[in-house]
Formats: sequence, C-alpha cells, structure tokens
Amino acid sequence: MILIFSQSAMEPTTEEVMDWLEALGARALRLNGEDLDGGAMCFRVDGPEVTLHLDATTVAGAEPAAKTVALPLAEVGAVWFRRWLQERRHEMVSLLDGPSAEDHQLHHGLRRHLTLESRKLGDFLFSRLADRPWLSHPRRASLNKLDVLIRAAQAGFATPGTLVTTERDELRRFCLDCCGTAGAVITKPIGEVDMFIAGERSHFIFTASLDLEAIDALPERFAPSLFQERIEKAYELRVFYLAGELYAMAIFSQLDPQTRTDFRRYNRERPNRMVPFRLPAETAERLRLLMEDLRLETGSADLLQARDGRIVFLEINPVGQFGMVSKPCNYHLERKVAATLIRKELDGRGA
Amino acid sequence: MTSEPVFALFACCVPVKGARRSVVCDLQRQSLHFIPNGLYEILTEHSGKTAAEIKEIYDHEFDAEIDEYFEFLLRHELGFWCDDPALFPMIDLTWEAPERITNAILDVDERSDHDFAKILGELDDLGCKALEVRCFHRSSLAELRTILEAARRGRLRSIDLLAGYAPELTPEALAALAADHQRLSSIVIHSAPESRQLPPDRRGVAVTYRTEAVDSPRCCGKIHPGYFAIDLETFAEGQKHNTCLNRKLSIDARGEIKNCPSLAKSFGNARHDSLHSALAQRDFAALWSINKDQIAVCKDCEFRYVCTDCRAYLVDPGDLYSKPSKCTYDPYTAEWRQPAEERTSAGAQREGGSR
Amino acid sequence: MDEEPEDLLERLSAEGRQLVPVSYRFLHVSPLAAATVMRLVVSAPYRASGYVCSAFRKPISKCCSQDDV
Repeated sequence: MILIFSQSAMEPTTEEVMDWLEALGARALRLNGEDLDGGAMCFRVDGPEVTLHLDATTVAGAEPAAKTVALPLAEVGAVWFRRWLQERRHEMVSLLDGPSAEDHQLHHGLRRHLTLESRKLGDFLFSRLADRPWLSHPRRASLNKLDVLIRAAQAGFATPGTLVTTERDELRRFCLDCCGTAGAVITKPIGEVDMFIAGERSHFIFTASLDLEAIDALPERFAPSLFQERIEKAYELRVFYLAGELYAMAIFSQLDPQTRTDFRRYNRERPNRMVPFRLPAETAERLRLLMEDLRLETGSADLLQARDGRIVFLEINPVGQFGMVSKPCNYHLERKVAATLIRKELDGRGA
Repeated sequence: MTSEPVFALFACCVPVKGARRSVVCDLQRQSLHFIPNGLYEILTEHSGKTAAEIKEIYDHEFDAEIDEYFEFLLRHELGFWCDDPALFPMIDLTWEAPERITNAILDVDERSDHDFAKILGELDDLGCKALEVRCFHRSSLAELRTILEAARRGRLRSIDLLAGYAPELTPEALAALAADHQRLSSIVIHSAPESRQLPPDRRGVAVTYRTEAVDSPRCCGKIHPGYFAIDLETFAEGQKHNTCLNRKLSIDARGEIKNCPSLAKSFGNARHDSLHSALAQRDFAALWSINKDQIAVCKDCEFRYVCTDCRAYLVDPGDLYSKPSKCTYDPYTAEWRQPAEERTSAGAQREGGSR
Repeated sequence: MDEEPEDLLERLSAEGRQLVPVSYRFLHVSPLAAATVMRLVVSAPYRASGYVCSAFRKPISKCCSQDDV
C-alpha cells in the first residue's frame, strides 16, 4: 500500500496521481496534514507496538462507511511526501481572550511551542516509516540554498556570483564587481519565499532587483541578506527530476516586464510562454550528479540560459509542483510518478 | 548552433492546415490566429531555415511578405528568433487518462425516474470527472438540489447544469445553489423569458439565462466557434479520438445507457443494469476512435482539432463518416453559411440523427 | 498590481527595520486573493461551460446556439 502525505484536499496533482495509482492497480491512502491537525486521531504505543487510528474523513482512499481508520503502518510499502503543513490551526486563530488578547509576547510564545509539538508528531510518523522507500523523505527534503549552490558548482555548474552581507558598502562593491556601473543585483530570501498578510493585502517576497541607486538608498547596515549577480537571461529553465529521468521546460519570462525578475509574479492575462526543452547532455549529467549527491529521488531544478549562452544553476526545490511542468509540456508526469511509486513498493518488498 | 537565428514557433502554438487557409492554435493562451497557407508551408516545410534562406527559396518574390509574416508572429508572441532550434522540440501530442469514463451526460425530463445515488455512485467508480445534467423540462429548485446532493461525495470535478426556466430559479437562488455545491461550474437556464448573462462569481461559476428552448436531445450537436476548445488536452485527444464521444457515457431521460442521448443504440437501462456492464460491451467504445481526420469535409478544415464534433446528427445519416449536419462552415470557401440557408434546404431531412 | 514597497516597512519599528533583510523592502503587494479553486474564469469570448479542470475546458454537449457577441 502506498501512503501519501499531502496538505489539504484541494490538490489536483495529488488527486491525479492517485487516479493513476488506482488505474494501474495499486492501493493508496492519503493523509492530509490539515485534517490531522484538527481531526480525531489516536496513536497507541504499547512497548514496541504502535497502532494509529484516524478520523476516516482525513484519510482519502479509506472505506466510505468507516468512522475511524486504522492506519496499518506495517502495510505501507512506499511513501510519497508531497507536502504536509504550511500553517497549523493554532497559527490562524487568536489563542488568547480577554485582556490577554493583546499580549503578543505570550501569543508568540504559545504559538512557538504548539508549532514545535505539532512538528514533533509529524516527525514521529515520518520516522516510523523511515525504512520504506520514499519520494522523498522530509529529512532529505530540507535543503539549504547556499549549500546547494556550492554542490552545484562542484558538480560542474556555472552559478551566479553570490553574497550574503550586512554591509551596504560591501554590497556596492559586489554590484560593481560583477555587474559594472550599469548593472544590478538581485536579492531573495536565504530560505523560502513567503507571504505576509496585513489586513486586506498580502505581501509576497519575490526576487527583486537593485541597481546602484537602490543600493545607495539602503541603510549602512541591515540584517544578513542574500544577493546575487543579475544575469541577463534568454529564458529560464525548470527541470523536473524523477528517479534518474529529467523533464525540462523553458520559460520565456523576459518577454513580459512583470515577470522579468521573478516569473512567479504570474501575468494571468498573458501567461509566460512555457515550452518543452531538450537539455544539453552535459547539463543533464551535472543535474543527475547533483541530485545523487543530495540523495534526492525527485525534485525541481531552476536554471537559466544566459544571453551569452551559458546555462547557470539557480536552485533546487526538492518537494514541489511538477504540474506546472507536466501540463504545458504534456510530459504525463502524474502517471510517471504513480508508476515510480508502484515500482518503489515492489523493489522495497524484493529487498 | 547556426550563426544566424531561425524563426521557431513556441511548441504550444501549433499550425493546422485547412483547405483554404490555416490557423495557428495557441494552446496555452487558448486562441486562434489565421494565417495564409503560404505561411503554413514556411513554418512546416521550411522550419529550421533562416529568413534569408527562406526568401531565397521563394526567389525573393515575397521578401516583404515574409518579413511581415514573422512580424505578425512575433507581435502575437507565437514564436521567437532562436539560435539553437535543436533545444526546442515539438510538443508531444499523445493523450492518456486514468479514468475509464471522463465525462457523462445525464438527461432528465418530467417523466424521468432516475436513481441518482446509484447513477452517480457508479459514475464515480468509473472515475468520471465531469458531468453535464440536462433538464429539458421546467425544473424545480428542489429537484435540482436532489440531483446535486447525490453528487456531493466522490471524484467529480465539475458539474454543468442545464435546466428549464421556472420563476423560483432566480439569480439569488442559483447563486445559493452554486455556493452550496462546490463542483458546479456553470448553470444555464433555458426557455427563460429574457436572456441574461450574470458575471462569474468568485469561484468562476457562470449563470446564464437563455430564451432559447433546449427541450430535447435533438437540440444538441450544434457546431460553432463558441464550442471550440483550444487547449492542449483536447487538441491531443483529437489527434486519435473523437473529442465528443471519447470516454463519454450518457443516460437519457428514460434511463437508457448510451454513448450519447441522441444516438439510438442502447447498452442497457440504468434502472436495472450497471454502467459498468454497459461499458464492458464490446461495441460501447466503437465510436471513440473516429477522429476528424476520418470525417468528410472536416478532414480539410483548419478547425478540426479544436472543434468537438458530433456523430449523432450527420449530413448523411447513413454514412458514419459524414460531416455534422449542424455545422455551417465550409472550409473550401472559408465561410460560415447563414443558418437561414440551412433551414430552407431540406432541413427536415437533415436533422433526425437516429431518433 | 500597485507596487508599494514601502508599505510593510512603514509598519516596522526602528528595531524591526534593523532586523529584517533587504528583500522586505521590495515586497510585491496585492489584494488578498479569493478562496482558491482551480478554475479558469472566462476572459476569452467563450462561455464557461463544459469540462472545467484547472487548465482546460471542453464542452460535454452542444445544445445552445452561438451567443450574439
């Protein structure tokens, strides 16, 4: 039986993979982090034995009549880690009442611990299944962007000049060095992109561009920030890696000023052109080496083709959307992921 | 790598040749761009050649036109100047789907006696993702609710509702229905006193009132640009399959299980037969592989991969491969005939499919 | 969408400004999106009917005449 960890019910790609699993004759159960966070659950530990019972509505693929479902860990032959939890229930409500409601420090402290507790519970599930084949185990799936850049360079990739600094003057030197007086640098988070909600607006951290003028407008010192040389690109590349195979797509984001710096600032009126791409052999080889070095079975790599023809490595997203590569290019990745999971389960049993 | 760039269409922009003119199907942005057959030739036979080489091939008689062509394609972002076309393959047009049935029609009239729970449960087993419910009669809100309730669980992604006007089917009542049933994607009320198109709500559900009466399956099979589907999935499906009937299952108002309610052949009745048993019959899928390339006239039409076809109402009811009777487009003149012309010339004989 | 990079920054205290990275100065602001359902809302001149599934749409039946647009 294949176990799928996802976040919520509204995930079309996950559903499509499950449809393929069924069409290909496999059994699958899906656990949504969102539901586990609030649903009925019971983990019983008796010495070395552990049984898990969950609210039937949180487990897709279970018998429709059941109220609770016993999650038979022993029967799990392969695991697909798609997502788990972005936000937990306790992060979305006001935990305090009365005069304490405004006590932000208390709120923050409570939330911090509750999040840790929730994370530990999820970790418990993952560790119980650590000896099964995964696509990919969350421990391997937490990558450090800077670390990956170095490994990519070791694998033979060209990578953008990168600086992490707190000093404006250092940044200025960096900008002049790699981009000249007319050039610009880009800044992005060291970790993940994020979004802040303030009232009726949402504030997204996307990759942003700074020229010398913008740099001079910064304070002399700031929190450690990541900067990279801005490379004039012909197009961006997103490559999905699955158990040794590579599926590449080119994104022509530079045709549209809105998406030029960060293609995720989607232009819904005129979406960027996304087309299949044939990776040059040496790029493909380097990517395979890098994925093996990182011990990842799957992931999406972001690269770009510079105007001068070089292919430059940017980053890897180990757990992410492959629908956006699969659909425009008609790569049938949903079926391929299903087939890979089935194969992993079979191989796992053999081993 | 060539020293001079060549023009390359984006893979999602696929040229299709018609008898009189051609079309570039922008499958990503879901639009069509007409191009002359000369440009089609350049884009296909001469793809990979530089502009200079192409002009040479035409003896420099069309240099200005060729420049204009590329200008046009660039302006609509249908292609780009490419240094290394080997890096940009054409798009794979194979089609596949895990569902045994992808879409279904369920007809209802005032005499219908459907077991909705049974039907929807069985459709779910077959993996059906999209359902169209057609109520030919004056429908009550209660009735619509009953049908939608039966579809609450399961794997359906979208439900299109077509129902006959009744005064209680107000915009507010329908909006409430849509809010209550997440899978509803469109509501069309036919036989309404006046036509009205409500703007799509937050979830994109469109409610439309039409004065037109849709009171039997005989209304179906209309071919016009409003029904073109310009997207990769349908385009791919159309390469080898019939884009209307492929993986479709229908239940007519009497409960008969068919490919489509307008066809005569029944494979059982939903009251006592399972949909599964109907599907298992050897010739249930017989029509699924008749694609436009096999159909007279359509095979020469530039719209053939975005048009969804109809096998029920044919110009020649005795010939399974004849053109849909309700299509007024003539690819040999690139003109849509006026509907009035259609009706005056032996209209009564043309219609009637097989019912 | 309106670009107001200074907005969040203005909410920060002096200490806050010292502690946030440079990328917070260039946030992309937009009004909160409506609840997510993967549907293609009609912007093209075709009715939103048929088989809607995140990226494509195909009519299941063809009973209605062309709109007079």
